[in-house]
Amino acid sequence: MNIILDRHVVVIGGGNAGLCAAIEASERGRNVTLIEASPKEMRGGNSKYTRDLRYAHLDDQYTSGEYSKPELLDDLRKVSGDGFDEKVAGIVIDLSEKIPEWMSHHGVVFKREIRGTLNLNRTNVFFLGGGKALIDAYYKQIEKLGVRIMYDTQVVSVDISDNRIVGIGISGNGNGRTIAGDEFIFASGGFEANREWLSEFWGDAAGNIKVRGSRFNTGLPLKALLRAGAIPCGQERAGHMVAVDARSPDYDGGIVTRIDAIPWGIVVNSVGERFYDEGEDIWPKRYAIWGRLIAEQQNQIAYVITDSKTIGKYMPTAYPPIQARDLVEAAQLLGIDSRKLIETVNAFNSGIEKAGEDLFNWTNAQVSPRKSHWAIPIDTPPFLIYPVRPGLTFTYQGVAIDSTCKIRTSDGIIENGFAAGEIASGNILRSGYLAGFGLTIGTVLGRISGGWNGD
Amino acid sequence: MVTEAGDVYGEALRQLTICNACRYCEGFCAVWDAIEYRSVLDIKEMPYLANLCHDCRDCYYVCPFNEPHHEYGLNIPKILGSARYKSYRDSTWPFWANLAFDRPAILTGALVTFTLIAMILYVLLIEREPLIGHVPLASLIPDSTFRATTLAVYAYSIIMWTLSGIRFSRNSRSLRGTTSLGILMGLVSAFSHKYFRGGGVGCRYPSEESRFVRAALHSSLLYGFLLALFSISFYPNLNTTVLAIYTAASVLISAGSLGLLFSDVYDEKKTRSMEMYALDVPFVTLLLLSGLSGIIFALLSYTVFYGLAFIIHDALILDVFLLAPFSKFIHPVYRVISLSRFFSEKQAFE
Repeated sequence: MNIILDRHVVVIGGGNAGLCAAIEASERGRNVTLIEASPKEMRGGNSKYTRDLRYAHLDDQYTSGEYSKPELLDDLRKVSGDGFDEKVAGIVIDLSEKIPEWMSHHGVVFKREIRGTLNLNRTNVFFLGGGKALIDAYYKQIEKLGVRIMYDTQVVSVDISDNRIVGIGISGNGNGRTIAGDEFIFASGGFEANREWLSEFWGDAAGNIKVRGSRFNTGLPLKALLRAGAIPCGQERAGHMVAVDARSPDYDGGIVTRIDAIPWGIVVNSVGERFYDEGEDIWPKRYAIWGRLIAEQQNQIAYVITDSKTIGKYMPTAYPPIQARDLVEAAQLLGIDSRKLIETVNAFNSGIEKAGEDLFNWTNAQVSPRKSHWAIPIDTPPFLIYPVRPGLTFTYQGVAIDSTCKIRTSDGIIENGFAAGEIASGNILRSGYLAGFGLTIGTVLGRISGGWNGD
Repeated sequence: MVTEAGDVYGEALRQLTICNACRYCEGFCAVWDAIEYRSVLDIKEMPYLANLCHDCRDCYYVCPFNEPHHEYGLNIPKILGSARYKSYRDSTWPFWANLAFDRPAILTGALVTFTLIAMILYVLLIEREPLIGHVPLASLIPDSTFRATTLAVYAYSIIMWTLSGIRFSRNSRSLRGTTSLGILMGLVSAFSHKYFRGGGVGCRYPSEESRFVRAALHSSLLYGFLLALFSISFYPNLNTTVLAIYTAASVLISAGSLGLLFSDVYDEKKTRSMEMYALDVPFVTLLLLSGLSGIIFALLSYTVFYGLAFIIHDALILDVFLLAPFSKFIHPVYRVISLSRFFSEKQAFE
């Protein structure tokens, strides 16, 4: 049975990009239907775990100073390297300056200042209450505009004929039906919650990865587009993976799973050995390296061992640390051979060179791997331990688009198929991560997909 | 749902520890700044943090980690409501007065009944004048008796409030480091209802769509009450002006408390601590009855029911004060102490 939405814009995915597309199209007089994979209570994809937006601006009321377009492009190049689509990136950066005002008009409330630990006051604007407040504000808008919302509905196939999408197949609510419409905007995110897909390159380790974002980001619409001939963009294996608390839920742990303590202690694997320089000066830009490092350890688990001297140096954690009075107790609690753990800690403590007052300059070059900064002896009980696993935030692979967000295929472009948000961010972000820029990409591309011409 | 009284602070600590790793709610009420001042939260500070919360629900409606859909199972307004209730109960002196917090409706009902009967008997037996008939108020309750009773009741309330406040501070380490500027700012923010306006988005009470319902109703109640106290101090010289002011005050009290009662009924209560709800309803009802009886008393002046209306109204007002340390009326004490400490901390931190 088919659902024919004649002259309709069908938006697939109810996160930030999909909502922006739906608002934009609806305000331009189009009939819009939005398909969201989750139930109403869990709507919003990964966007509900965001909290800020990076945008080019002159001096304004929300930030502490000017942030020019060339500087933003430069920052993007620093994390993403070259090789991204300069044209699409240029459009996103150019139009980013128009976004806060539009957001504000659509119910998003910005904070005037943020204390926080992130030093982003100049480049980013923060919204009051974080991503769920943003999502709820936009849902309120589309409800008011009369957009039809189908929750619990998953898009599983795309039917393309003569460079036009003629229908999409759905499961879940309305299982087995095909939806035909006028235009289709894919804003369905990545595939970070699809263990089967992840195991294609992570093998059994995929089962031990914590998915920080929405459990509904299974990437089925992305897979359907790729099967139907869309050109992939970004590496399939690439993902933004950080160290997260091993006690976190398997999905939807969000921001609070983060473990910032690594530079302040040592990290050992399940046999009690260190495996990487914890003091490498990569914070915060490349802290994602730890996700992959832990994924490469046995059973994808590691332990950050600190002592009571460093409490308060790092962001508080959602779960209290495991506490041990001595290393023997610590080893017992972690199930590590105690002799090995004591050996590792002693070796670390004995070779430290304390150069001056600044802990940043304390090093230990006598152990392997060395610890090049913050080499603080671990000798003051209680010992505070955080078990960590790889935490996947998002995947990079999506579909290639042109400058109007139309999806590219080997034959050209899909005339009535658009992509926005995480599914299209591979065009701009090939690796690394630029805080708050994912939301910028989603908002600009979402609005363009919905018919915005940049005015 | 936490039922064991002893577990409430532990559960509040668990939930706020998750919040402190998130901090997206920074910018709403004082709770969020206060937890950011601490890298490790202490269970002993739960009464302090709980009394910075005023159940505005801004945090609840923006949280992606709420029960029952998320494993973290957060419901901050509810657990802090329960923690607040526990802090009221634990700080009450003497300890047997805990009964008041366990059975607030029964206590309020019994006290109202008892004082009404006592007041009417007093007038009938002591004053000899008939209760029904147009008589000067001073012949029912002489000026000196009224003054003495009023002062005694005020003194009792203030002393009991102080004792509870000291116990609360001791239980929650709430006075440590409090500065005079902090106290001043605490009082100003309490009386100006700063936090009822949230971070500019108001209170989601009684529904998610609400903004300034509670700010309006609570202001009406508080300032109506203060106006009533001021105007009744002219007793027995209740001339037309004083009576008009008193009537206006009674209208404000009635409107505020009626609005709050309606809101409580309308509220879907998923973020409500039911222990706190059980404490709120009898007290607001008593205030509503006080307000309404004040209006009736004014309307009946120069009729034969004037005296009777005055006696009933007086009995209800007396109950409000008798219950001051043993009802929801204790909340300004703990709230102002907590806010004063908060502003002192803020000063030190920033």
